[in-house]
Amino acid sequence: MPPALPIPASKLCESCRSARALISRPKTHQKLCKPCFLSAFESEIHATIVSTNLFTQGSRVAIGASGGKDSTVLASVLRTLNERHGYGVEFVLLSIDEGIKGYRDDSLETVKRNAVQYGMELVIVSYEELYGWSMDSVVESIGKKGNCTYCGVFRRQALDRGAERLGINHVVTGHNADDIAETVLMNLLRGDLPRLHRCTSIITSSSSSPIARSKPLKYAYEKEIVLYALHQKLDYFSTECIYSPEAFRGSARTLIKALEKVRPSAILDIVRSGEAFSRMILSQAQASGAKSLQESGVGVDSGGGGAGCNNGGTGRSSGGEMEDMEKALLAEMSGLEASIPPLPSIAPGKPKKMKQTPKKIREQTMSNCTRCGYLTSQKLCKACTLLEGLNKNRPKTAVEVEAGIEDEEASSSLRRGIEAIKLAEEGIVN
Amino acid sequence: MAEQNIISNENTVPTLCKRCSISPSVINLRTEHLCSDCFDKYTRSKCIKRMETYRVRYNPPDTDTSPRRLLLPLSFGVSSITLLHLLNSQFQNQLARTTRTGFVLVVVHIDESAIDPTVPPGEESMRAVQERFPGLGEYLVVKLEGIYEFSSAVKAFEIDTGGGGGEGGDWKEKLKGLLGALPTPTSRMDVLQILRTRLITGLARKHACEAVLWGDTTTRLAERTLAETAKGRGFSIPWQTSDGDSPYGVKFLYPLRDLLKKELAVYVSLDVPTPLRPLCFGAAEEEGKRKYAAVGKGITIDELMTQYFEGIEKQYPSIVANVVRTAGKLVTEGGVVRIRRCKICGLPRDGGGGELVLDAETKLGESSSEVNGNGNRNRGKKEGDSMCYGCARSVHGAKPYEWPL
Amino acid sequence: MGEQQDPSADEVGCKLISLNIEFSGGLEMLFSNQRSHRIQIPVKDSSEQPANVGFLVRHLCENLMKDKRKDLFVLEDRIRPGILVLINDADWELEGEEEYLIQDGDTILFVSTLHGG
Repeated sequence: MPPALPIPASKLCESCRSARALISRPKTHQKLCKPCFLSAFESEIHATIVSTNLFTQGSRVAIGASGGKDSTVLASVLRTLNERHGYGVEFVLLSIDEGIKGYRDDSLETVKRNAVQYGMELVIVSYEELYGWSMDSVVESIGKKGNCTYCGVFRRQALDRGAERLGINHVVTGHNADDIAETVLMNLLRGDLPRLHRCTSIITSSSSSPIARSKPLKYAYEKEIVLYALHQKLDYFSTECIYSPEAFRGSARTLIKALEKVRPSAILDIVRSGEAFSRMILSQAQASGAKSLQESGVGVDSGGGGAGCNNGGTGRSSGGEMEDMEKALLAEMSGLEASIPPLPSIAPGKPKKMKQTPKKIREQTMSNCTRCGYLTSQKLCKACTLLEGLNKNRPKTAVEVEAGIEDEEASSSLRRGIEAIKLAEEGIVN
Repeated sequence: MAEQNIISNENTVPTLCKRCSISPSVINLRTEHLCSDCFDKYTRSKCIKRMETYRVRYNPPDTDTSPRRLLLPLSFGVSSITLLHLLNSQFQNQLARTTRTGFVLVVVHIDESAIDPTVPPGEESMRAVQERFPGLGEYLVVKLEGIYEFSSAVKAFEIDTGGGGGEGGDWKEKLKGLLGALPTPTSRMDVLQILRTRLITGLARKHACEAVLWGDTTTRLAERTLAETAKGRGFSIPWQTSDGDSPYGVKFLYPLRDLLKKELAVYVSLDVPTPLRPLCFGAAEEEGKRKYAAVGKGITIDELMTQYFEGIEKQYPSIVANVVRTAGKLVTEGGVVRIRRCKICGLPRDGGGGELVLDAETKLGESSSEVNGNGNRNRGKKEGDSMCYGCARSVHGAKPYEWPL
Repeated sequence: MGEQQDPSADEVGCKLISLNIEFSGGLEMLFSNQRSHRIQIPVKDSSEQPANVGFLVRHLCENLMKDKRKDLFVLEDRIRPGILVLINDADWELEGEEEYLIQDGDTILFVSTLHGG
């Protein structure tokens, strides 16, 4: 380092006014030096935790850890805050091994190092042991197309089972403000009111599930998470899943980042709007949404920002998603359009296809999967249904789709929709 | 007329209209190819369906059979010209069938030449429009700076194209000062939109109109839904996109809400009976602005959303409609309450922006006080508390300005 | 570490400046899977303007990036939103973004926020 020259006033940290500013905070444009930034970042997450009573003294909480930036920063910050503010929480790292060579095995090495660095217990639950199938073998059997669906269903259950195994009823994930903003926009595009209602809540739990999930980074900018990791020299893993590379291209993610460029506060402003939406959705939608809870959809879900998968998992949408959404909507609309009376001059419309009512969230009664005991609204849970298909080497089994309460991440329901369409097209709906 | 470029270019062989099976198709409506006649009928039916409330009233059962007064803001863009044309057809039909009409229009163009000298004042365009659609009602051109007149409600409002008399120059400067004080292009565009809405609703009340008929298409409503979400104004989306009572004391109606922007772009070139395009004096300007916006950093959130939905509309029209349907299912908290209005947009406030302003002042310390020209922190808090979050965000960091309302 | 030189600049005998370029957060894969690059670029761009970050980005795309997927790094010739740029550890927003004039010995880090969860 060259000897310290006097720093021009315009380059000074706006907080301590002594060090050189290195960070421009997206939500306030405030210019901060490194120590002031780190401390502001940490204290805001602390404020989020305190204001929402996220943790209770003496509890054990699992951190869904993928080795990626979000969960790594989450683990690091939680350890710091736990010590600094005496939360009295025992944090455990919970990782999912999907069984993807050249990707997950490497990122798990990162998690293993993190466990040592943060002095946290690490539990790894693998698809192989839970389901008898690794993602490598799933892809070998069904090909790359649609593999994220399997991965998503498997992951959601795996996280629950991992937590259960640890005797833990609270899993924190690394979802950040960008993820939530994207999910809000995607749910608007998709017209998914139940998810729009709940996607901004910091904690999602339900009476029928023993495991709550929460997002302590919900107000943290992805930019600041990366800067935090960078300035703290955290050890994280940033390779794309080999089965869904470059999922961010052409997606709502691109729109979010463009908005951030135009007005950096936009991301938090969207989260704020999303919080307003959740109060603006009629109680029926809430109620039915709340009742349909529980089991994850066939969608790629959760985990992400915590337990892996940057495609859908963190609420990120993939480029192909819009196309699938359009197809799903068009199918739905051709039913709706038929109900509009034909114009006088036009020959009476022949009934178009079958009239499809807009998908309503059905009320569901939850019971245990007859095969594995996991909570489900069907006889078999989704994982078992998929497994049945895999095991019979008849991969494209249709899965009855319904919304799951914690299934709020952007891509999930859409993929379910798509999946249903593809299946319908292929005429193999069960 | 061959199908326009918006149609998938797969088929070069002329496709027949799916409804009449006689004429060549001019447009592909998602799944249905239509000829120009059938497309015209389709477009009319979409608008008429929304205008059902304003059919001719009979006595009985209606007690009051006089035509309702409706205000139509006309920007000379594709949408508002199309809406005027469609309303005119409906009006003429009513007249022909019953010798009476269910409504009369007050057509208003807001002259924004004060803030953009390249924009023509609009009288000439208005005259051309009036010649094409005579007898529908009144045609007015109102200067945007006239909004400063509303603050002193005692004075009569000069609707005249001559402007606001002696004080006109003063208002113009105030308006320019206001927009110039705002920190970013996004803020300026946001506040400009608010000024237009407030002027138009003020005029509607003044002219005893019971509703404002906005020209917004499905596409535009979807853009607005996402743009307002991104500006932190999610709470106000029902007031900005749905038909019915607005908090401004007049009803809002969006008769083109079931039509896409790209559909209207085709429609204005059809012979109905002669193309509407030549009347769309503002359209070229809209396109020009868009191109300009695409370049460089000066783009606003609204423009970004316009671009985004242009892409979406091309490939995924059902998604556009779905956004609007979704927005329609949101209900405002507490309905149209009359208390706690935002002093900028005039809508009932959400939690408010006090926190935002105060937060920023505390954090920015001196520099912010310098900018505001005063060191009084309470003022910031007070101001923030009298604004909704979205407006507080837009005027955050602004230089001193005089708010007209 | 790859030592890169701009041959065209050499031919015209232009002055060169040396700088350290680093890629992180998944961008390494677009640049020969290599995190650090020590490169030299001309002091002035083709229109005789002093080299700024905008020029550097174009230079990187044309000379250092072997990967064809340019749009993972730039959109319409500008750094893709979602990629952070740090100039000597400082957020480039504090330094004037594309307009920042490159100094000899600068370290410029490009970090993607778009990769990995």
